[in-house]
Order: sequence, then structure tokens, then C-alpha cells
Amino acid sequence: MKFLILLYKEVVQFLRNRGLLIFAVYAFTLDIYLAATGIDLTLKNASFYAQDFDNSYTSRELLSKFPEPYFHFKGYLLSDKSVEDVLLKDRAVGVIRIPFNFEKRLKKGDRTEVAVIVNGAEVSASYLFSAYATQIIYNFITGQFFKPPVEVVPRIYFNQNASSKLFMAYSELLTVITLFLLLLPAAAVVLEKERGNVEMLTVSPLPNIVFMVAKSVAMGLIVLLFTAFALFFTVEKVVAVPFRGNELDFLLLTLLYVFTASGLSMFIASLSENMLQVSQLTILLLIPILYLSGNWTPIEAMPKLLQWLSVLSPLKYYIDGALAIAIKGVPLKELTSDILALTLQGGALFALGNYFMVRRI
Amino acid sequence: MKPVECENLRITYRRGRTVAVDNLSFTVGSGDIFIFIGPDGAGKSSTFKAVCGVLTYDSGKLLTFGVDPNDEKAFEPVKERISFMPQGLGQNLYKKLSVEENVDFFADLYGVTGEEREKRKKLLLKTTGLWEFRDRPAGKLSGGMMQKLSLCCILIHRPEFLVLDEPTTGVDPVSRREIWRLLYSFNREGQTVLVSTSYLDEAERGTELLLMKDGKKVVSGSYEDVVRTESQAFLITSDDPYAVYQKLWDITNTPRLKGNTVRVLIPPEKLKNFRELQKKMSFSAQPVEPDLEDLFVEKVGLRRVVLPPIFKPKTEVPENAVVVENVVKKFGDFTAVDGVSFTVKRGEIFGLLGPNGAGKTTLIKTVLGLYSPTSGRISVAGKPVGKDVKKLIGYTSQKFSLYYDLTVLENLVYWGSVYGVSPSTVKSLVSQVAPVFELQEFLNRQVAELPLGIKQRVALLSALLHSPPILFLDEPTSGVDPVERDVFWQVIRELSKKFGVTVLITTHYMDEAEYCDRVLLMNRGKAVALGSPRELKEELRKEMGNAYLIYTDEPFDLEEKLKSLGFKTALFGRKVKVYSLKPITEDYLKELGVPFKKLKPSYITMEDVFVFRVLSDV
Ligand SMILES: Nc1ncnc2c1ncn2[C@@H]1O[C@H](COP(=O)(O)OP(=O)(O)OP(=O)(O)O)[C@@H](O)[C@H]1O
Ligand SMILES: [Mg+2]
Repeated sequence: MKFLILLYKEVVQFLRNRGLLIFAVYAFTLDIYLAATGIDLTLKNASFYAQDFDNSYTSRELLSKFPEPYFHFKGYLLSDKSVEDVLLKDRAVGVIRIPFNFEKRLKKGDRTEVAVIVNGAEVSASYLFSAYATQIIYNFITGQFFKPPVEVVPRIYFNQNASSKLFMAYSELLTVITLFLLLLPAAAVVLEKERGNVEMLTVSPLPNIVFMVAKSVAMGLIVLLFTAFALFFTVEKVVAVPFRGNELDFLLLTLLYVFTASGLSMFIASLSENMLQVSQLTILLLIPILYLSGNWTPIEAMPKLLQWLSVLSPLKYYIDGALAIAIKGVPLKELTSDILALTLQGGALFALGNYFMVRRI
Repeated sequence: MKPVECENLRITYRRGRTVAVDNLSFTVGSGDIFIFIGPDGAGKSSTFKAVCGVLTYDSGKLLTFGVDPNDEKAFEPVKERISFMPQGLGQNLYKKLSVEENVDFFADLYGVTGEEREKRKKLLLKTTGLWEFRDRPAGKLSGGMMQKLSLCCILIHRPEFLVLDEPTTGVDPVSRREIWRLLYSFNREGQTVLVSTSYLDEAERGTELLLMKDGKKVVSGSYEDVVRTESQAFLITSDDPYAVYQKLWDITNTPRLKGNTVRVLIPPEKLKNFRELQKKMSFSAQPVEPDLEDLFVEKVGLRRVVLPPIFKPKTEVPENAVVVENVVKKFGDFTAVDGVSFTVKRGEIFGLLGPNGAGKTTLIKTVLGLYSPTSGRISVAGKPVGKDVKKLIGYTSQKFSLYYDLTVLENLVYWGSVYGVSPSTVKSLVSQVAPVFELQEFLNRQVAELPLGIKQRVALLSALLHSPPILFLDEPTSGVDPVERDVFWQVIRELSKKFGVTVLITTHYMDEAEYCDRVLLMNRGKAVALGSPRELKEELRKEMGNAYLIYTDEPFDLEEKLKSLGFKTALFGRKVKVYSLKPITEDYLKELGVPFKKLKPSYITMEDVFVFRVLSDV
């Protein structure tokens, strides 16, 4: 009974958060539709600034690679304070930060980092922004200074041919599921932290762990509901690609995945102080998970090291299993290895994530 | 051109369903210190926002420096001439930036640079006592320090017109005196000030005063003109003040219990009943001049609260309900609580007072186990705080503990179940106490829409759902108007006196300190005084002598003069309070060559205790 009330509260709060709700509806319907049908009207005119410490030929060259009409370059910033300022005041979707000696280090082949800082308030735009930006930066660096080991296939940007519609629909669905599973529980926890409510809960006899688990479970349920909706409505009716397996199997597998991803989400929550950081960390985590999952690039085509690392991406097992159910119609009970991997990973991450979170309060 | 001219102003919310301001007219002249007071939800903040062009008003005539704020384009240049500080704890601050960086940031924003900026920054930070904490991130300041920092950030530039919405909420008495001194000196340099406050003593400090209720003006004018009541004010002393207090409710809705006295307003037609009661109960009633609180109470009216017995705790706690022994709490090498010891007895109302940053919140959090003490011992209900003790505790934090996006009832059900109270129990309890707390009409509204006083009431109720025998309340009444605070204190008193609930409470309202059984005064992490309000006041009286009020038109000059003569003084609007072991008479003042309008004997208050104990503790 008590647990039900905890769940009820989370669900009600989610439903009253207009912005998040609209984004979720969009992501589980239109976004999947657009990705599948290949219509390209995702990122438009995203305003961004650059904080260019290097100010070299190469750095300017890199910035020129952010094309209109997707991006809209608004100018240079000097201090960190003004970066925070433009983001908090919604004057930009993101900021690209280029470090000192960027050109020099690149030429020497040293490690260097370009930071993509995004505005957390605009969740959808910032997600797209960072996805595009990462791609562009990656292409720029690989294109210019060494032969890429693989051809990076940009995903949503180009028109798809009919045969890939099926694959794209499911792949986008799985991506969206992952994004929300990472985002929602962390966002819910951090909101409580920001408002000082975590403290009230610590004083209460309710163990913090129960509270955290309630959040993960509530958000998992919401995502599961949205997944069902996307499956029956968006994928089967609107995009109209065949679903060969059993929908229940698909949802059960997703349920397992919920534990894995919301465990990760708790890590995000424990490391973040505000929503901006939650969004940034979510994206930071999402990109490698997606990349390593083979969703973008076939795993076989990756360098050996990455292939080996891909074992760690939870999305890999989920994609394996989910696509097998959806496209090939494999029944759940034949997917023992994926289930095993997901259960192990999910159990461990969920327990660890929640434990870590509770420890950090 | 007048800073504000306003006629028949009307502001509504929710498409006209809620009327926030109705038919309000007032004029702020250049060089005024114009003060708004009124109960929570009276429409003060809405008016201020309209004046500053932050909110669009519905109808009426409003001109700020001769320009209509609704006309956005035309108003843009006027904004440069105004500084507006909205209500709320440090909302405009960047938590990660240090105190000084925050001020610098605002200075940059307003284009204040160079020498001017350094000078002003130093003045502001020193006045508010934040100078020595200038490197600390804003997020790690105490609640009141954040409030003071927001104020500094607003005052860093010098517009002609300052609009401050409750700038001193949660600020301690010493700092409030300093902040007012600062406002006075800016005002002398020509700044006009429009300010709202929930501290009635501050209202006395303005040149103009406006009392608002339900969106309408009740009275306005200069303090002396405004503070007139139709009823006669009495101060009652009796052996059993509580009994008298209870009986008085049959005659009027204005009685207030203040320590061992009762203050009441008797309308002319009730004087007969009052005299009869006086005869029957044989108490002494001294007619007194009404003060602003009397006016407020007469206009707004108090409400009797009788708690149903459901709040009687089911568990008995030991005689020594809370024991704190030599507790030290350090953050890095900064000592926030420095060797504090005290014991709170069962059923006692124990007040924790001290300047902002004294360590009150830190101490409470340490007692509750939110921080682990660096050293020392703590026991609550006879045990260290663990799972079974937590059930016995009710707590409201200085920040809000309610969910803004849930309704009042949803919040209560949620907090109830967190404490193991089933939803059906919560609902039946709420149906019983909603009338007492006057919450019926709000139960299904989202918390975000409610006025502060109501939120505070819900927060208190949410801490009471499991009928805890021990309550920890951290500034539960900050920013709440006097009438609401009276309701609040009636609840606390009933809980303590009738049901034996132990209460540990912090506050910056010194009149509330008088309601406590015992008080611990903290400064810089250390305990500086402990005792009942009466004992503490008597001790101070022995040291400093009696208090007198001197009325004058030039309070600054008068205070300077008295100080130079070696007197201890305090500034109250256009009065100076002076303390002397030797009796002060009019002749004596003339002899000293001190100019004055009027001299009146006064008495030592808890505020005096606070200010002088803190200032002499260096
Ligand atoms: N987490 C923290 N890290 C570092 N310093 C802190 C931390 N929390 C509080 N402090 C410092 O400890 C001191 C005491 O703070 P505390 O909040 O206890 O004051 P307070 O007496 O409650 O003040 P107020 O009346 O303003 O609420 C302050 O100087 C504050 O800056
Ligand atoms: Mg405090």
C-alpha cells in the first residue's frame, strides 16, 4: 500500500510536468515515425556559441563545419560564467568548447577534447544537438587527420531507403526507450535534491532505498507503457512495419532492460546537482552506449578494442533480443543468453546504482 | 516626476477568477520610504511586480516615473532606473559561485565598475556580515545569509528607485538593524524605497505606510496617523494569564498571549462585558496606546484554534526529551557548531535563536542525524537517532518540504505514508482538522498556487500527521504575517501544554521568542545565553539598566549624540531607544543638551537581549 502511494506520486508528478510529457509523447510517436520514414526535419536552426580557447585555423575550420540550417552560430564567448549564462537564460541550445593547443595537439596526434555543453532545459533539442555535434566533430577529426577505421554512417540525417525502414523504426524505438530510462529516474531524484526534499525523507523512517526504488519502478512503468503504445500504435499502425514476434515477449524483455538502465540513471542522479547536469550526463552516457551497442555501426566493423568494450553496453543485449523478437519473431524463451546477460547486468547495476545513490545523500 | 502614481489598480490571475489587487490607489513620492504591510495573499507582491513592469495589470491607472509599465517598449528605459528584488530565498543567486563572485556578476550586469564597485561591494558585504565569508560558495550559506546576499546583489548599483519585496525575511535582528541603517543612508542620498515586510516593527521605520487586505487598501498615511484603533488596547496581567486569555475570546477576536501578559483590543460596545469579566477573574488591565500590531489585528482579526485530541502522541518520551552534549560540527576547517550543550524537557517549547549563520540549522540537522557530529553526544527520546526514533520526530526544514506540483491533499497523503500512516487515516484526520487549519477550500489545489501562510500551515500539518511527541521546526514562520503566526503559535502552545509535545523551534521574530519556555541564544556556533525569556531580560536589565524611548525628527543625529555621551542605544524608526542604569528624565536630557520631542519609559525586550548579547560576544 505504502509503495503504491509512492508510485502514485511519481506518476502524477510526471503527468503534471507538461514539458516532459509532451517530449515523451513526441519521442515515442513522431520521432520514431520521422526516423523510420527518413524525413529530415529534426534539428533546425539550433543556436549555439563557441568558447574557442585555441582560436587557430583548425578550430575555426571545425566551427565552420556546423552547417546551417541545422545550426545557427551566434558568436564567441570568453568566460565560463557567460557560458552558464547563455545556457541558463535559454539564449542557446549549446556551446562548443575548444581547448588551448587544440590544433597543435591534433597535429601531433595527442589526445584532445572538444566539449559539447548543452542546455538541459531543452531536452529534445539538446539531445539532437549533441548527437549532431558529436558526429560532426568526430567526422572532422577523423576526416582531416587520419583515415577512419570505419565509415561512420550518420543515422537519422539522411533519407532511408525502404528496406531500412523496418530497422530504423525499431532502432529508433530502442534508442528512445534508452534515453527515457536514463533520463526520467535521474531527473525525478535530482528535482527532489534541488528542492531539499531528500533531507526530509532522510529524517523520516522510510528507508532511502525504498524511496529510490519507488522512483525507478515508477519511471520504468511509465516507459513500459509508452513502449507498448509506441509498439501497437506508432510502429504497427503508423509506420506500418511488420512485428513478427509476440508483443508481450518484447515488453518483458524491456522490463528486464528497465532495471539495467534505471540503475545507470541512479548513477547519473548521484553525480548531478541540477537538471542541467542530468541532461549532460545522460547524453554523455547515451552516446557511448548507443555507439557500442552496434546500433549505429555494426560491431564487427569496429576496432578490436571497441568490439571488446561493446560487451559492456547493456543496449547491445537488449537490441539483440528485441530485434530478434520484432523482426525475426523469435520467442523469448530462445533468447536465454541475452536474458541472462541483461538479468545479470540489470541486477548488478540496479543494486549498485541505488546503493551508490543512497550513499551519496 | 513621482516614482509611482497609481489609481484604481486591478490585477487578476487565472483569467479573472482570482482577484489579487482591487481598486488600489497610492502615490510614492520622490525620497519616500514607502512601506506595504498586510496578511499573506493580500496582493503586495502583485502590486510590486506591476509597478516594475514584471506583470501586466488588468485595469486602472499606473505610472512608474510617468510611464505605464504595461507599455513594454516605452517602459524599457524606465527599468534602468528601478531595482526590483522579488520575494524568496536567494532565488537569483548562482549557488556554485562564491559570495563575492555573485556580487561581481550583478555589478557586471549593471555596469558598475572600478573603484566604485569595490567600495560599494565592501560596504554592503561588511554591513551584512558577509565579508568574512566572501569566498564561500553561495550554496553553502545559511538561509538568512543567502537572503542578505541577494539584497547585496540588488543594492550594488544605485538606481533612483528601490523596490524590495520582503527583503528581511529570515534575517536576524542585528542584521535587520544594519540593513535598515543602510537603506536610510541610501535614502538620504536621494534614493526612493518601496518595501514590503512581515516585521511590523519595520513598518514604523518608513515615511508612509499602507495596510492592505484582500487586494484592497485598508489604511494608509504616516505611521502616527495610521496607527489608531477604534477599540481600546489593554495590557492584562494575571496569575493565570492563560485562563483570562481563553475567556477573552468570548468577547473579542483580538487576544494575544505574550509571556505572562495578555494584550487585547476591546471595542467600545464590549467594554461592559470586559469590566464584568475583569471583576469575575480579578485581573489588572492597563490601558495602553495601540501599536501597529493592534491595528493589524483589529483590521484582520484573529482566529481561535482548538486542536482535536488526535494529535496526542501515543508514545511517552523520557523526561529529558532531547539531550545535546558538547556537540561540535565542522565543515572542513570551519566550525559551524562549537561545543553546544543543552537539554530539552518533555513538553517544553525550546527556542533556538541566533544571528544568520550562527549554526542553528546545522545544529538541528546534526541532532536529526542529517550530519554526523564531529564530536559530542546526542540523544533524542533517550536514544541515539535511529529508525525507531525517527518515528517519534516531526520535522519541517527551513526550505520547503512540500511538492509544489501536488495538491494539498496529495501532499498530506504522501507524507503520511512516508511516516507509515495509511491514506484512510490521513483522510479522516484531514477531514477533522481542515476546519481548524482553515484548509477546506485548498485541499484540492496545487501547492504552487497557495499563499505562503497556507503553505506553512500545510507544512506543519504534514509534520504532525503521525502525532509525533517531538517536533523540530526550523523557521516555520518566516515571512508569515502576524495573524497567521498567531494561529501557528496557538497550535504549538496547545500541542505542548495540552498534549505534552516537546518542541524545538528556531525563529527570527523576537516576539515569538517570548512564547518559548526557554531559549538558547547562539552566536558563531557557540551558546551565549540560556534561560527563560523572563530571566534573560531581567539579567540584561541588571547590566544595562532601564530602557527609554526618545521621540525625534532627526533620529540619526540624536543617536550619534547619545552614543557620544556613552549611552547604549538602538534606532527604531523615528525613535531612539536608550538604556541607562541611572534614571533618565526630561530635565536630565536637557541638562545633557540632547534635543528631543518626547520621552517615554520603555522596557527591555527579547530583541534587546538578542542584539546586546550578540554584539558583546566578540
Ligand atoms: N554544507 C556546508 N558546507 C560548508 N559550510 C556550511 C555548510 N552548511 C552550513 N555551513 C556554514 O555553517 C554556518 C552555519 O550555518 P547554519 O545554516 O547552521 O546557520 P543558521 O544559524 O541556521 O542561520 P540562519 O538564521 O540564516 O538560518 C554558516 O556559516 C554556513 O555558511
Ligand atoms: Mg537556518
